[in-house]
Amino acid sequence: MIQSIDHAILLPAYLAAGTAVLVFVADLVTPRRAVSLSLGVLGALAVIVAAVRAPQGRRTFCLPEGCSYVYDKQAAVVAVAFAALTAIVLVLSATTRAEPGEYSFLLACSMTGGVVLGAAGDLITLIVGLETLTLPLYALVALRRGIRSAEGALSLFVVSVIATAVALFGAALVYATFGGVHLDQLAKATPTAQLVPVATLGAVLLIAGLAFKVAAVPLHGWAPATYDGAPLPVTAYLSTASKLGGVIALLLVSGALLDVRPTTRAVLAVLAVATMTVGNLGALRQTRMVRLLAWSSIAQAGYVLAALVVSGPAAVAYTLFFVIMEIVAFGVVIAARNDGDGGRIADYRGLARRSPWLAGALVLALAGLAGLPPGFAGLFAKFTVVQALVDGHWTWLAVIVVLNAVLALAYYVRVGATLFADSDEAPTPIRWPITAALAIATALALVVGFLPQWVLSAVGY
Amino acid sequence: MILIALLALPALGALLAFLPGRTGRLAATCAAGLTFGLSLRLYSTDSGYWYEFDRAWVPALHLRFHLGIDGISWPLVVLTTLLTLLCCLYSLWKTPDNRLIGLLLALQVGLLGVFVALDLVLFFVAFEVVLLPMFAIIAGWGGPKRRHAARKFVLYTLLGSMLLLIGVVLVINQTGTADLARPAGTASLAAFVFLALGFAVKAPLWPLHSWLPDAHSEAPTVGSVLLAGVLLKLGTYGLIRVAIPVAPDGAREAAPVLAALAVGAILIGGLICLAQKELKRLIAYSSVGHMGFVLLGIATMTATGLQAALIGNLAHGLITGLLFFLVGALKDRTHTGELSELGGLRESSPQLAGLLGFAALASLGLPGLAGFWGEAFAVIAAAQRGWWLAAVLAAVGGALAAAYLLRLLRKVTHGPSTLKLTGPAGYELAAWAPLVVLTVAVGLAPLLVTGVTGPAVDALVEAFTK
Amino acid sequence: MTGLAWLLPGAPLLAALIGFFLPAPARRPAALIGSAGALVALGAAIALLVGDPVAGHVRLASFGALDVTLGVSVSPVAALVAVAVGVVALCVQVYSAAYLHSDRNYAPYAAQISLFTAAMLTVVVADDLLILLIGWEVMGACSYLLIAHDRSLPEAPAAAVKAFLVTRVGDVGFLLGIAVLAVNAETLDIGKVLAYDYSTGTLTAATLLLLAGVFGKSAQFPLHSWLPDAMAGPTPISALIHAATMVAAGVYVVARLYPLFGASDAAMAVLAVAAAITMLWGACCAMAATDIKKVLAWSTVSQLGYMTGALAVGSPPAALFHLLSHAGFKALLFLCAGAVIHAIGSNAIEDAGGLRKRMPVTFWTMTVGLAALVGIPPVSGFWSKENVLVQAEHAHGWQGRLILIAGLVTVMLTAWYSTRLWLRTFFGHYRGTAKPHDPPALMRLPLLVLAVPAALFGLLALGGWLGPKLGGDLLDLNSMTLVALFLAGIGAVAASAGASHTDPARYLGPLRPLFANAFYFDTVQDLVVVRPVKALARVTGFLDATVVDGAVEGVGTGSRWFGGLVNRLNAPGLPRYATAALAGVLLIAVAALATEVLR
Repeated sequence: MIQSIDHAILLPAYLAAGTAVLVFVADLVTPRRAVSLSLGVLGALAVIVAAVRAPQGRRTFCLPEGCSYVYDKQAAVVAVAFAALTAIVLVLSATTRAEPGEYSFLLACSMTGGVVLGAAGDLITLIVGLETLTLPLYALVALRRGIRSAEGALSLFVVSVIATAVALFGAALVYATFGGVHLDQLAKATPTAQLVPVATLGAVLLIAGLAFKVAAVPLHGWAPATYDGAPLPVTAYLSTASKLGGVIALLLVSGALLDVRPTTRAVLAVLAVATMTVGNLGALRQTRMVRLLAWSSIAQAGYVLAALVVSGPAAVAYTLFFVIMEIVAFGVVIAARNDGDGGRIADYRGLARRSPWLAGALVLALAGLAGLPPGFAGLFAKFTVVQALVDGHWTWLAVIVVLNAVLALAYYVRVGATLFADSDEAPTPIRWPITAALAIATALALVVGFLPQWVLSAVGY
Repeated sequence: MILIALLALPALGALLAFLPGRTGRLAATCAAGLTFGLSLRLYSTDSGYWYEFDRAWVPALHLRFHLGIDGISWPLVVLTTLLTLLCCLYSLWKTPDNRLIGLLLALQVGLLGVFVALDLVLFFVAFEVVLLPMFAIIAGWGGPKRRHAARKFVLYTLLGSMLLLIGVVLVINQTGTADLARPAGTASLAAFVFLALGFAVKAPLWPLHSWLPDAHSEAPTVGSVLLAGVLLKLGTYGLIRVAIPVAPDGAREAAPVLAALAVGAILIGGLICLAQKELKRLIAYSSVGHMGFVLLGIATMTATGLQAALIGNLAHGLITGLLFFLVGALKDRTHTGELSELGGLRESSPQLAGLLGFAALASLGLPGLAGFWGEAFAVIAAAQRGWWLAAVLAAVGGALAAAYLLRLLRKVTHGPSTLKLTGPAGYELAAWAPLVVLTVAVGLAPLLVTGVTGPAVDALVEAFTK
Repeated sequence: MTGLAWLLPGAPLLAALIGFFLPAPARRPAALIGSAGALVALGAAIALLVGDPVAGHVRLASFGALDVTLGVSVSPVAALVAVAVGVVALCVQVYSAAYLHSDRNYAPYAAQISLFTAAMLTVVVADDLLILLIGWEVMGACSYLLIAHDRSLPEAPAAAVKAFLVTRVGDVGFLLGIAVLAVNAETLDIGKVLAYDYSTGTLTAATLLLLAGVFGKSAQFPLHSWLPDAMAGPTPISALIHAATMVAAGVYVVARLYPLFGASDAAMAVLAVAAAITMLWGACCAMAATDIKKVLAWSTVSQLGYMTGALAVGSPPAALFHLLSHAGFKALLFLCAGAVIHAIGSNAIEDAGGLRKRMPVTFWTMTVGLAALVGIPPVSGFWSKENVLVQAEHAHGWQGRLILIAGLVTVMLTAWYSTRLWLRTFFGHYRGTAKPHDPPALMRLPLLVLAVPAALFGLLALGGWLGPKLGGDLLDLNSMTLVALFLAGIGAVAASAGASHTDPARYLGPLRPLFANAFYFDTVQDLVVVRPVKALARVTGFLDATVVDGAVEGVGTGSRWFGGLVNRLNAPGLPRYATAALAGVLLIAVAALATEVLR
């Protein structure tokens, strides 16, 4: 069967892959940090442009049952988000001690996976995209030499393998019971009555496996150690782009499978409750900055899962708000630590005196993560989730979400107050690219805080 | 537009406070002064909303930038701008720190936002704006146990506003509108309960009050003044402006419970004060009692009760604000708030003793001073509703208030003195004098307040009884 | 004329406001301003007395359907009481200037007296229940401030707190009574309230509640205990509280609202019983008191019993008559007592004696006052007290008999303790150490001024002028008068026995400590009210800290503990992560499958 391939909508993916190749080749020619990173950033920017300009609503790689590549508005938003995150992380890596060539190449590969994932129209494309997104991360995590880094990478790898196996098993069951892998088709089909339990099991396993990417409980254990062991920009990427990938995958799957049986939704709700609660509890007593952010991002994933129970767009909106706040937070950590690790929270004492702007940005990010002004973006994010849940008659889940928000504030204010404590350390110099990236991210956080409608419209909420 | 200016001026002031040195402080204080002037200019005798501003903001969340001011909100707006200005002036001399003054103005933005919001979501957003600046004020400039107190404050009140969030969303879900100017009034009991719980934490209503004593006893003077003077009013104002109009049926069902808790607050607050050993905690608990009267007035859902609640609100803001200023001045001088270590203020500083006596008498609801009207008419309104037991117990609570405030005066002002304290400084008198004058003025001429709130309250009551 | 009515509370109020802004030690201007305020009020009161009744209203506030109006209404009765208030206030202002000549906080003191006067006049002229309540409670506050004025007395603060608190407890009832009246009639206007037709139950509830406030202010049993303690205040203040303000307010209000009280049998019965107990109680305690001012204080309690007794038997004119004459002679007695105390430097009767020659002016004026207290013709107290007894005799029902018997016994006791005071203070030999002499002119003048009404006020009734003003016939002497005089004589003679050598109180035998300690009422009150409330307060505070706040803190601690648990469970270790992940997924899968299959 001859297919016509719609290259226009594949352009973002081509550009992303092209960026990876270009960076790899350039590193062979001129192995300089600036060149590798700039090429990566330029590539990412090109992906953004292409993603915005590419015609939406078209699809390709079609079979009678459905299409494997669906480029709609959501796919465009996801592509833009991945490219933007990649660009910012690349700039934030300006001072990271790692092979710049390898580093940029791996990130660009991962970006490619993300771009494809957003447009995935069947389970196979989805899993392939997701794995392309994740695989480079194992290597990236291990880039910082040291036992912690290696241990983190190994944890990530092993748990990831388990999760992928579970997800594939689930996908196989789904295929077996529904007789197809295309998401459109799955959403319409109903398995025969005696197969319903198996179909449900398949859906549940698929969701559980994919939940690994967002570090949902019980697949969360790797996150704190891995985050703390990886180079800081990689951690930033893990907790934003990688998480976004997980959410998109879950969104696509749940959009197709949630209505099979109530059980599926209930499992998702249980995962959400467990994830947010365990995440927040785990963060309460952390004394290391990155570990605290790791636990907090587990909890944030819980809110996303809660939103997914009722509304895909709400979940994506929340994720977008979240990644903006998270990247600002990590940006500050990178700027303040100047290529160390994240350090102890106590090391941030007096940051407000040393570098008031950094402290201001971190306060903004933490407030946003907590869902409080001045982090308006976070406030609207939380509002969106709660509204979606209440509108979907899941008020009890909304109540658990808001109770968790209270729990979470306990550790955010602890960090916030530390920044303003007295200390007489001297300020550390910050390299301009990091300043620039942080400024852009912070400005973005402020803008979406006051104009959240942009994000909400983009995801169709 | 004038309403936008009302919010923009303090916001600008908060930014100006970032300017280095004296310039920043003075510029911010000027902004506070201008805001106060502007709030006075807003006065009008029109019925309905005097000014209104309405633009879409976030349609997906039903959020409109809808502001409005009427007779119910105006007194509280003026109270807010006045107290903020006084706190700024006080801080200029007392703790000349740009960050503190900037935070005061940021706090003001949120407070004013709550009072002029006519959109439920906007109301909620403004409600949230208040949290972190207040946390920072307590945690940054508070007493020795400020960390714990500030955390408790922010977590507990966040719990309240999160329940409020659920209520807000429920209301929008059930009525399809977030408009507060013309609420649908069809939200359910559940929605009311969530809203009321949120407001009850803020007010605070017993037994959800326990953040308040800690926050007050550790907060710096200006923090305590604004906390008691305005922040607590967010809860009661919210009940009047939001919870009752959007869910009048639910409110009617829940009203007896609210009244019972309010009476509980009056009595329990009073009893705790009677055994209280620390000055600021005592006044904090007295706030629990006084807000109990306000909540009782609200629970009656009658015009009389709501009027009493509004004037009680205002009076409590003035009187407790003054009390915290005075107690703060006392603690600055003696370095202790323990009642057992104080005494003889009449000898060591007659002026301070006189002012404290005045404030205490006003606080115990002495007729002829501002505090009387709200409490007396809360009792009468409860009687009107036929809640005689509540009326009796609330009146007994009034006697308890006399008991603990006289005990306070006896411990603090009487007895021998070992110290010679400096009298009030010029800036202190300047900060206190307006509160004294207003306490007397509202006490002698309550029409100043009821004349403004009256038509708006009547309209409100008519809207939800129809 | 309405302007004059406004001036009644207005002038002293203005004086008070100015006074509060004077520097504290500025005695002379403070005294002048205070006196001027009282003088203007007195002038206005006299003008209103000779003029016609006036009324005026200004809306002060609206609470829903209820309007508070700043209403004044000056009937002849009100004008008469206002005159009495004005006279006493003026005398007190003038007298204080000399009495407290070395006080360093004179200005607030004088301003507080002015405020006190203004508050009482507000009660007198108010035509709105809420306005009445304002004056009513401001008096309580002023009494608190003034009683606590003397810094050298350790018991002053406690006495001040007691005065305010006890009356405030009564005012709980007063406020609720007003609420009952206002809620039913839907108005606070006194005229309309009096005209409203209440159901019996409502009326009983309202009047009984109002009586609680009245009992507090007018020191009726069981809310009387603050009055003797209030002696800790400077003596002129005692005169002010005991004569024309505070204690008079309660009686006046019952008379003002008499159409309501008179229509309630229950209220009348309660009033009668309380009156009888109060007059006997006060007289008994006065018999054993060792402090000059305490004797007078208890005598006030006792005399107030007569007034409420008159009200209970249905004769407000008799009550008001006694109120007015009592205002005159009791103010005089206190100012005399002040002169004595001033002279001998002590409050104790035991430190006086033989002052007749050394302080002639004080002696003669005090003699007039005591004669009036006992009720010896022709001084004022005779006429007013006889009137009460006659009204009681004429009254129907058991109330009349109760008041009559109690009143007659009290006459005897009054004569006994008055004679005792008179003899022990002015006769015999001087037992003190200071050099007593008559007071300076500024103090002497008020004594002489007040002696005139104390002696002659009753004659106004004789002239037939007072009766119509008070709204009743006041001259109705009969055989009861002779009985009363006879009993008074017995009392006086009994007290004279050996009084020049020893205190006749010792004849009281075992009763003496009982009377001297006021039947241990304070101890009982302490045990029954004060201690339980304090204990309750401590328990509430404890429970609030451990249970209510404990729950909150517990949630915090609990969360931290769980946080620690989560961290311990998540201790680094790859096998652990892998196991947990597999186990978790397995659990979810089994649970989901089980739900599906069982369905």
